[in-house]
Amino acid sequence: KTSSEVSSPIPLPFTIRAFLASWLCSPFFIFCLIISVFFVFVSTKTQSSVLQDMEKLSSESPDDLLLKILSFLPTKVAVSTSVLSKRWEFLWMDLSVLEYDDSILPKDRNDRLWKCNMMRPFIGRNMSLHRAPVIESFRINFNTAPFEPEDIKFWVANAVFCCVRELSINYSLNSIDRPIAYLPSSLYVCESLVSLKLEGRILVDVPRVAYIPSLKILSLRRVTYKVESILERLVYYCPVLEDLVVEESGDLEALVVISPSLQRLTLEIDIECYSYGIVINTPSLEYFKVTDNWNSDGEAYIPSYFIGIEDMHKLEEAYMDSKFFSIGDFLNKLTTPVTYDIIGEGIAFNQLEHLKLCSCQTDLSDLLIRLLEESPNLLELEIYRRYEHDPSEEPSVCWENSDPQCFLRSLQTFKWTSFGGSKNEIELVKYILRNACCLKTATILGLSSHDPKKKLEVMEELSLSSRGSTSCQLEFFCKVLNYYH
Amino acid sequence: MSKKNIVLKSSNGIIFEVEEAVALQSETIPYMIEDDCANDTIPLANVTGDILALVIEYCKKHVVVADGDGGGSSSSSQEDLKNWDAQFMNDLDQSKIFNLLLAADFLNIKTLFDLTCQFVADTMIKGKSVEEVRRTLNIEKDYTSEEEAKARQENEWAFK
Repeated sequence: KTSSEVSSPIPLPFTIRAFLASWLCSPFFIFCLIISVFFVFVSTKTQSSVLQDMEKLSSESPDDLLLKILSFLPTKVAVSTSVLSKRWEFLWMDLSVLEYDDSILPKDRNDRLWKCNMMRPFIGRNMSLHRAPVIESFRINFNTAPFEPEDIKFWVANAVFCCVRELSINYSLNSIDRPIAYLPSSLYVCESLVSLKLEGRILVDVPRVAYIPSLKILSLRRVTYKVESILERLVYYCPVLEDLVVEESGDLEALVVISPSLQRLTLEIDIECYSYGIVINTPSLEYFKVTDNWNSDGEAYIPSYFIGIEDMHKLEEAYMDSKFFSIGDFLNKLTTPVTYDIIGEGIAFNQLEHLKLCSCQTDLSDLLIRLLEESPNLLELEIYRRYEHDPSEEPSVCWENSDPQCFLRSLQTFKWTSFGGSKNEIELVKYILRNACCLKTATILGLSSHDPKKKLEVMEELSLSSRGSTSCQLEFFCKVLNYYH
Repeated sequence: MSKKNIVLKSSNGIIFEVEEAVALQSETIPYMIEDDCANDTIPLANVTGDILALVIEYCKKHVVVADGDGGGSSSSSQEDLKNWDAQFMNDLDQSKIFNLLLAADFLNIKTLFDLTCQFVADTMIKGKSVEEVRRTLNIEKDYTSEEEAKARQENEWAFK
């Protein structure tokens, strides 16, 4: 009994094997095999040709063309095409560029409110139903409309969900008592974001987990920072950041920018905020611009402050027009022992090729000499005057007796757009003409207030002065250009 | 070194011989050259002769500036080119503009495609009434009055 129990499982698999062997050899099976192979072949064939057709169809679809045309219109106009026909009804919802701007709304207050009240639910509804898989660019610009901060947060969250690449929010409401807009925390971990521009009553708060791996352009204008170190942290979490713009609204005590990747830095300092210092450590920086809102009419107190600058040896272009952050300070900081090693031999700007200097600087001549001494590869020098600044003060240096400096061997273009024609100014121009041996063009604009005879005298004096470069062209224009930066 | 020429043939059999640099502004043509024998005529089945002439006129104008781009006067020539583009588009009638748009899309000439799209957007849609746009773009109104009113109501803020 026991043996039969043990042996009984053996014949069963045997019969199955026998059955399979006989079935496999049967003509019916071979027929089935041929049929199924044929079907597989046919189905892959039809599938690929269908795919090809679809590809062809989608690339030639006039809807794509229409959508492309719509993308050249303001979002408002694109939305209005929805009443053209059924085909156009939802076409605009595939747009990858969206811009909502309250400046297009009617001027009349009641009309405006009425439109805003319709626009608000519309944007909310559309942001959650938008059909474009990726939003290339989402811009909102609200200055007067009564949109709520929660709206902004909700819309931004939706844009982040649609892998937004460029985000620009201007929420500069003129009434200060309006609540401040928060941004969703998903923004600070958005992988697709390449450009982020924020302006106005927006709170910048970097959550504990933050990383914006693709962000290259960051612009923060008059925003509010939750705590002081937020800017520093935000920059830290953007490993490929290249361009940073910071306009101060006065609630930062210290402005700290530390970024190994940063190439362009623009600072607009509010002179009203007294108590802060600046620390910059950007070894890849190529472009640096500093301005402030100081003007000669207001007797603004210029505070004492701390400035720390490290490692800017790649600098190619600098623009400085600030009482708060003067070029002299900048030079002093740059030649601190830390940078001295990197720069080598005391040459501060061996990459600097273009220099523009506002002639309102009280110590113009001293500065010019220092800058020229420290910029051996300078190609272009421009002296100009910003429109709101005072006329130039008399340069105090006696240029006639100055030694030729090394910079003049590289200088190719010299431009003075606010030339007043004083004796010292003439001396400075003559000095440059005499010593710059590679100069190609020298352009003088100004002399507008002088009488024709005096003008002619000055022109003659300059044209007859000796030149270091035989191929140098000297051009005069008798008007003053005002620069708006 | 002599410049290489490329022969293009329009759908109605008109032959154009152009310099390689002119033709290569189209991103489609290089693929066609690869596929066919390089010395053969390239047939463009989707583009008629009059439209192809316009495309070539545009490409010729733009290839010159691309050559001189290394020079210092690029800003003024850019300005000239913009004016030329505007004049070029203004001289065309509507049917030519649409066919040019399709040709630029087919030949994949990005700047010409963008130019025609922008022109259509600016001159045929922007600032025009719904009826005007329908008429210009030959759009058949398939809404009932109620449906149109509803569509308008949903996007009310977007209308004047």
